[in-house]
Amino acid sequence: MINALIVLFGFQLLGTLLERYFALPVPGPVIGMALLFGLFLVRRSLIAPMKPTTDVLIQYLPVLFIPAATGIITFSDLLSVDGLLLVLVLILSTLIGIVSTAWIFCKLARRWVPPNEEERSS
Amino acid sequence: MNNLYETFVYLADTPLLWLWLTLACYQVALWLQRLSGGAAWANPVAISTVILGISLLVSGVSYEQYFSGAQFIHFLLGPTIVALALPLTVHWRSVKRAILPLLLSLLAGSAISIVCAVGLAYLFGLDEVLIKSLAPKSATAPIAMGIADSIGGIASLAAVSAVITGVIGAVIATPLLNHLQFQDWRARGFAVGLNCHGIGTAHAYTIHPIAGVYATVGMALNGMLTAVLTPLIFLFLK
Repeated sequence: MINALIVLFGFQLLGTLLERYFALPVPGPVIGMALLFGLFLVRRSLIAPMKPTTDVLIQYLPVLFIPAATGIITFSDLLSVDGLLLVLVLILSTLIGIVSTAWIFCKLARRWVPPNEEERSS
Repeated sequence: MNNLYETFVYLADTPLLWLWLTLACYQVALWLQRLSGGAAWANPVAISTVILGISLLVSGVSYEQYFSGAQFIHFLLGPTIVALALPLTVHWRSVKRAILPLLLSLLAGSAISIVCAVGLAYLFGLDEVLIKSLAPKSATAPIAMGIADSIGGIASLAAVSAVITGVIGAVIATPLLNHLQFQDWRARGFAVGLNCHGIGTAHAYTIHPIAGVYATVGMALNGMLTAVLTPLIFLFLK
C-alpha cells in the first residue's frame, strides 16, 4: 500500500512538474497517468502489487469529485434566465455529443473491429 | 456552556465537519440510489452535490469554508487519476485494436460537442462571454478554465459549465444509451468520457470496467483536443 502510494504520488508529482515547467495545457495527474501507463507497458510485473490499492481508489472515484462538483453553488446566477438557458444548452449539447460519439464509433468499429464477447453487453 | 450557534461556528471552522458531511452525503446518496432500485436520476454524485449545495446555501457557509475541509477528499483525486493507468494497461490490447475508430470518433465527437454548445448558446441569444465560457465544457475543469481564459471567457464560469456537464452525463448517459440500444461497452464508455470528462469516467467505471477504460481514454484525449479545437473554432467563426 505504501509502495503503491509512493508510485502514484510520485507520478502525480512528476506530471505536475512537467505541466508547470513546460506550461502544458494538460493537468499534472493526467500526464502522470500517461507516464505510469508507459512504465506499466515495459514493466508488467509492477501491475499485480499495485492493483489492490488502485482498485480501492478507483472504486471511490465518484466521491472524490463531490468537493469540486459542489463548486456549482458559487455560480449565483444559476437561477436567472441566462443561467437556466446555460444549463439547457449544456443538457442538449451533452446529449447530442454522447449519442453522436457513440454512434460514429459503432459505425466505424462494426466494419473494422467488431466488439468481442467481453466488450459487448448482452 | 456555549450556545448552539457558537458551537456550529466553531465546528464550521474545522475541516472535520465538511469532511464528514461529504462522506455522509455520499453514503445517503448511495442508499437513496439503492432505494430507488438503481434509477439513473438517483446518481450519487448528483444527489450528494444537491444535498451539500442546499445545506451550504441554507446555513450561509461559503464554498471556500466548505472546501477547506473537503479538500482532503479532493486531494485524493490526483493519485486516483494516475491510478487509472493500471486498468488502461490491463485492457491495452483492446484499446490498441480499436485505435483507428477511437481517433476518428474522437475528432468528430470533440468538434460536435464544441460546435453544438456554441451553436445552441448562440441560438438562445446568450452573451458572447458566456458562449466562450461554456464552449470547452467537455474538457476537465482545469483544462476548460485555461481554454476559456485564453479565448476571452470567464474561467470560473467554464469550471461550473464543465462540472454541470459532468453531472448531466452521469445522470443521462446510461438511460440514453440503453434506450438507443448501444451494446458496445467501448462506444458507451468512450462517448461518456469524451463528453463528460472525469465525472463521466467515474460513472462509467461504476457501470462496466471496459466502459471505464474507454472513458479514461476519451477523457484524456479530448482534454488535449478541446484545448486545440476550441480556439480554432472561434477563429473560424469570426
